[in-house]
Amino acid sequence: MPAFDKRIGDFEKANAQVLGISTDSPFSHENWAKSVGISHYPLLSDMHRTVARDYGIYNGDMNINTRATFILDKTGKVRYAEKHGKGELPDPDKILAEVKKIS
Amino acid sequence: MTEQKTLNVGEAAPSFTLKTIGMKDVSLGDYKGKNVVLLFYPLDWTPG
Repeated sequence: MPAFDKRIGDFEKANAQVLGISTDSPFSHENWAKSVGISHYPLLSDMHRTVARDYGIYNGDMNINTRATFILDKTGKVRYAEKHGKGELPDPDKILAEVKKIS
Repeated sequence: MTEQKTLNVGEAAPSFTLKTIGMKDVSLGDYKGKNVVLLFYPLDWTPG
């Protein structure tokens, strides 16, 4: 999500770490990140789909995770959860506003 | 497909350790004391 990469300074000011997660390999991540311009937050590989299952967003038909955004507070508690519909992308402004509510 | 319950607001986020670019480990616990935004996306090379 290059849209979040461009705004990473704003998230840092709100004491927030952004992490991207999909079921792709680190090698795929590396190529994609270079291609679309993601360099300021880590892309993680949930290759065993365990995290997708733990967070309840595993899509068994496609064997991938669905698009979803979670905000966790400093104690690791979920403070915001949103599943995105087909074609919908998380909005950095909206997510940043939600982070600021708990900062 | 088995019905699954999406993690809800107020619940403790399950911990994890995953590989990132360069095969380095990243754990949720690495960011204790910070807010964390988890952006799950379906696949590399999809919009986003």
